[in-house]
Order: sequence, then structure tokens, then C-alpha cells
Amino acid sequence: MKIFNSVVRVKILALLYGLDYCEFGYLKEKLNLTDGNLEHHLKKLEKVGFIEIKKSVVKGRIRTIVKITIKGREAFKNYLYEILQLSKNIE
Amino acid sequence: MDAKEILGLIEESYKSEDIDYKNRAYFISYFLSSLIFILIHLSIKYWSLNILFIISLLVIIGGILIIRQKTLFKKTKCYFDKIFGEIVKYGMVVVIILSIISLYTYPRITGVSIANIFGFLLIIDGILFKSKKRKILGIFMIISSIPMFIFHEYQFLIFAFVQFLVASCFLICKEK
Repeated sequence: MKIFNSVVRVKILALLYGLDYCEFGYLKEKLNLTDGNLEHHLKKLEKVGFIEIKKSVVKGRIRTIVKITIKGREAFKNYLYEILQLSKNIE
Repeated sequence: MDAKEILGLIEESYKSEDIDYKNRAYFISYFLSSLIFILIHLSIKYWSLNILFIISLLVIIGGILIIRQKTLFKKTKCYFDKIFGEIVKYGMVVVIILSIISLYTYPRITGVSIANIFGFLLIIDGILFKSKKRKILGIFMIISSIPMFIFHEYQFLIFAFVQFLVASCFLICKEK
């Protein structure tokens, strides 16, 4: 799948996999990315329905919450299974 | 990117927590519960319905404050948070039922049993999130049940003091 071609997107999905939700800032800090770069990858993931992005205003600041969808979870699980199979075969 | 790196990130995300939020939420809950236990001690000593009214008010205020913190400031909610939330829910049911039973059968162990369950819950939290601080505070709470049993007349007052110390620890020590 083309969406998994980017290391950043795989990392985003890996981080979101164990989370119920997280803030934009959390991903930015963990992946060491700029706002624009992270937003670009998140939009791509949102477009294919792998994640949900919700924005709200809290104390005058925009709070962005990112959540993995069931579709995204399933796709990532399959991707992970393939990667593990591949690494097993190499060994 | 290899499988090991991906698995490492997944493992990290499963137990990632918002320390600032947790410290604040724990401070609020332990501080308010220490006030509640002082009031319980007073209400037992000078049997008064007004005090019981204040207790229920404090429980509501505590709930509102924690929910507010959660909706405004909590940065992440991980899988272990979900599991621990479930454990706390059933833990509270145990606290309520055990308190009622011990109050009717052997009142001097009411506070002792509450302290043990509270301590045990804090230890579970410490184990899930690999927090030494929470494990130590949980053990401290469990050990405090010994003086509570010996000086059973002041069991709720002792427990309130212990809870206050635990709350202060969450306020002062910001680390995991």
C-alpha cells in the first residue's frame, strides 16, 4: 500500500496504535517534526480514512486531537504482519 | 525501517502517559480525599449531617475538577490508561462494599481496608506505567494501615494525613 511508503506515516500509525487518542503536540514531540511536515502526513492518513482529526478551541488555543480509526488499525495490523513475516523469511 | 523499531514504537505508545496531567489529577484527588477523610473523622466523632453534606459536595467538586483537567489538558490516552480506568472502577465498588460490611461487622478495620485497596490501586498504576514513585507511595499507604489499626479511633485522621502526604508528593515531585 502506497500510504506505508513513508517512514513518518508508519511511525505515526505505530504511535497511534497503542493510544486511544493523542494531541498534535505529542506526535510532533515524539517524531521530532515541524508543524507543516506533520500536518502534511496527517492529512494524507486522514484522506484514506486511517485516522480522525478533531479540532477544538480551548482557552483561546486550537487543540488538535488525533485518533486512529478501525480501518487504520486493521491496515496497520496487516502491514505489521507482513513486515514480521518478511523479517522472519530473511532470518 | 525495521520491524524491531516499529514494535518499539508500539510498545512505547501502549504505556505512554501525560505526566503533568496525572500529577495534577492525582494531587487534586488525593488532596480532596484527605479533606473528606478528616470530615469523616469529625462526622463520626460529633455525628453531624452537615458534615456529610460537605463530604458529598467535596466528592462532586473533585469529580468536576478532574473531568475538567482531563478534557482541557490531557494530551494522550493510552491502552493502559483504559485498562487502569476499568481496574479503578471495580476497585471503587470493592471499597464501597467492603466499607459497608466492615462498618457493620468490625468498624475498626474500615479505614484499614480502604487504605489497603487505595495503596494496591496505586501500586497497580505504578506497575503498569513503570513508575517507582507510585509503587513506593502505594506501599507507604498499605503500611500506614498498621498505625491505623493500632490507633483505630484516629484511623481516618491518620489516613487523611497519609493522603495529604501522597498529594504533596504528586505536587512537588514532578517526575514519573
